[in-house]
Amino acid sequence: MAARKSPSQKQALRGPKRRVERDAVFLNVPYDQRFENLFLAYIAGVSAFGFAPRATLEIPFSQRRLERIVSLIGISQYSVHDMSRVQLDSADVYIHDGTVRGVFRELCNAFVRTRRQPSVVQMMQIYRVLRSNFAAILRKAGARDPFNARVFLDLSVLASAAADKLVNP
Amino acid sequence: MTQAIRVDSPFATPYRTAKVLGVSKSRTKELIELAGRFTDRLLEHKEARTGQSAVNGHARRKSAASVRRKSSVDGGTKISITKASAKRAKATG
Repeated sequence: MAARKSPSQKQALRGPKRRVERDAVFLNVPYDQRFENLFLAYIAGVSAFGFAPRATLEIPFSQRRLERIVSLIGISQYSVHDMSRVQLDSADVYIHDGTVRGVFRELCNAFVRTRRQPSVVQMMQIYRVLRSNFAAILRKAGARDPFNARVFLDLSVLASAAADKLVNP
Repeated sequence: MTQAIRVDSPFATPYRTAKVLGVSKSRTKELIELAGRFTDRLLEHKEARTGQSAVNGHARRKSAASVRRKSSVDGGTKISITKASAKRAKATG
């Protein structure tokens, strides 16, 4: 007769329980120069919704990188996957037309907040704050593009601060 | 057909975002100040365009002297405090 496992035994078999961060959004986007504008747009848009953007850029290159990426996806409440470089036949996609405004429009279609619902105009203002400080942030990090950990973290906090002021309570 | 996700988690403050991402307190403060400089300018510009600000909004409220209060449903006393009536009382008295 098979013995029934207790909840604690089941949990032990599944591994340690991960805490899901309710305000974290995992961004899965291409990391290349042509995608720079849209990358900033994703950070601005996600922050406008009161989320904290997360990306694999935060994770240093190491042997356990893949494991940590999986764990990062696991702890994020939502994931945004940009499939603009992939041929898709799936029906459930949001099409941003490769524009900053398109990214904002589709984020507004994907998420609906009960309170502090941001508008595309407010998202654009947050984007402008990021753009205005972009060169200084790159200079400070000694980077050439936004696809590195330091720049990503700075842009995310900057966008969050701008969203906190611009998106009406 | 895509379906929107209803979000009711609290709005992440910059401090919360910084904590989640592991940004230092001093850098967070620096970035908040940086963002503040730009957002304040944007809000000022918006106020100038609409010709309305939070301060003016408060000023437009009626002053205590011009408030006319009526009593409740029972038809009791009617209190009317206006500058004009106060002047009239002064003239007759």
